Amino acid sequence: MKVGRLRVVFKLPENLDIQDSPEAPHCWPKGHLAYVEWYRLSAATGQHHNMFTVNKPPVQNDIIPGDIIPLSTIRQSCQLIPCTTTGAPWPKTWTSDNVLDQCNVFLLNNWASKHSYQTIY
Amino acid sequence: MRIVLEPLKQPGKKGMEVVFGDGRVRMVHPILACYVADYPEQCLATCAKYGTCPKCNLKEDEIGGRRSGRWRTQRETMKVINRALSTSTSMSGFQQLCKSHLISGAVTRPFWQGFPLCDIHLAIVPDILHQLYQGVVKHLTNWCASLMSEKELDSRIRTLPPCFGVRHFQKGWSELAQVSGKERKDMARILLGCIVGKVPSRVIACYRALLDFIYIAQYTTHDDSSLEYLEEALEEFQAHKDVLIELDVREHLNIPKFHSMVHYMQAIKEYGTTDNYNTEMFERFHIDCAKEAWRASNSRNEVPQMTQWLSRQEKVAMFQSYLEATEMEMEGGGGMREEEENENDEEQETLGMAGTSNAQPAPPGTSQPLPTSTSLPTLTGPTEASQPLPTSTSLPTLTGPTEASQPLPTSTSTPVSLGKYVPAIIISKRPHASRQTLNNIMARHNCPYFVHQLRSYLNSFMGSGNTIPRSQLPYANLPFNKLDVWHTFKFPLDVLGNDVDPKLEIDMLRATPGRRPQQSRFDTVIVANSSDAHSTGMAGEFPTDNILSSSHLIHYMYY
Repeated sequence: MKVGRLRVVFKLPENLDIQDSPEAPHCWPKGHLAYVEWYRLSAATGQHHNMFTVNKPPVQNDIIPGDIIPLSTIRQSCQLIPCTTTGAPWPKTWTSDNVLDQCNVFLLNNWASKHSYQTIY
Repeated sequence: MRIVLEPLKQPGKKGMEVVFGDGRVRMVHPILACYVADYPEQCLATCAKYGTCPKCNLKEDEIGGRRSGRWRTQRETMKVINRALSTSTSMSGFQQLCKSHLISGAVTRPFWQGFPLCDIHLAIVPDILHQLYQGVVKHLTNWCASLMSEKELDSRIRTLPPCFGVRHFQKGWSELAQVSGKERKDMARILLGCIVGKVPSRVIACYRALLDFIYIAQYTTHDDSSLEYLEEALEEFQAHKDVLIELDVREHLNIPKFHSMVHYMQAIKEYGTTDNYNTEMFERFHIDCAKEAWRASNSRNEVPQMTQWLSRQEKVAMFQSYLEATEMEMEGGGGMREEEENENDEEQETLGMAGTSNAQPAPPGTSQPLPTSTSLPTLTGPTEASQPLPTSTSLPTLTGPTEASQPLPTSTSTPVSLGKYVPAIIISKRPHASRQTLNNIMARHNCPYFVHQLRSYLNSFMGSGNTIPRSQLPYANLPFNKLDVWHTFKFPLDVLGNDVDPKLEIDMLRATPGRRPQQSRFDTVIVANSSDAHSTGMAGEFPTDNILSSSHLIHYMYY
């Protein structure tokens, strides 16, 4: 399982902008696709809280790791809870809307639903 | 209570004839087996002294322990009451005698007297809503106040990112006046994550063990191993609970609701999973029958008004179901109507499972294998970019006339044939934003590497030998400049374990750009590594290194 952030949900066009061959190659997937930016999941859960840690990977070669995937490989939504080093308060600039952008380390909340409790372990 | 249940005593002994749903008549002996109630009612029903356990024989200051006491039995309870009745001369003397034996002494003639095959102490069942959520979780959230500042907890709760199915407490918890059961559940979802890093790790372990217990106790199926987990969670709480006393969070842990957890395993073994006897179901009637009736009254001499309101509601409901039944008969079945409504309501398209919708087979007429010629016109390499347009030689055969004669399978045609299966994805037929330019998408969705990944993705379809080298990929042209974009979709979660009740749990995801950055929302998701990956468990399947390795650019992880 991988954790990521869903950025775009789209479909490849059936018609191309090329005059001679307006139809898209039919080996292209016809279904909905998703563009997901990946996070890194810790190998094991935390000792006390039993939650996975999720890191934003550093930008390498000027690229944020991401992939185009079929929509159907998405298993479930998940909640990430910002995580700071022990004792440090959360910065005041964080809000519910921007915390996913501003924070780099999260806990994967497996308590969000009974389903996630049984699937994330 | 005695008067209400009196008519059940005789049939319990002698049996009564009951017409079953299949039309047969069977002899039934109704007995009192389960008594679903909250704690004060449990004490009242079992005549247990308030503050002790209604099921076992422990004093008030002993119930914080791990073990349950000797079981109370109905016979013993009755004996104590009878003895106290015969020896004491006054009511207060009777009560005192009872209390010394952990009996409340408020009841002299319990209603369960004379019931066949009944033990009221055994009949008391656990209660998720009152004991766990309104009891344990309530204490847990209240203790947070002494572990960290309320203000900080509130601000953390406000800061949490939104997620489908998780309530966002806009103002935090401290301003909530009366907390309902549903709110408690929503609090339990985020409780642990909010206190991590702020309270000692032993407290975290303690909280986590209790939350584990609460979640496992709600499983709709149990086996020996899941019951073992339940016991382990309880053991772990018992092992760590002293920290709460050491930190002066609490003077003692002799709380009846905490003690009740000791009896969960046995109750699940005896009466089945806890959803069979949760009070939540019945508390709901309280809202319908009492609260709404109260609101309908003018709060003066309310009882006749409320009863009249209720009987009127019942009549309306009966007439309504009568109307619906006749309507169904006239239309000759309601199925048609529903379908029409669905179509009108929302144009929703259900796609089949992943494997079928993506791996499109080549149309049978194409005699030639797929991309044979030099390269697809789509991803033109940098050298060719100087040329006006791809020459005809570089055009692949697959777009030739043979193929054009056969209509391309549209995205809906293939999967719809799988209609009898559970829909995999529920998404609107029309895109939420059609024909968005790629630059626009990258800017609005805040994903500057989208086109880059799109290139490498399409490159993977080029066929062996035709792929564009990675070094040249960034300069490749895409054969289109606009894409249809969807902002939200729903899908059913995998039903776990039992298929007895295939009620679909729906999950919903958004990737919605907003006018301002604050208004946009991009959800976080969990993705399977491959389509046949296990649907449960995270461990061991995540190739952490792959993600950062340079081979990341083109990889065929999904196929």
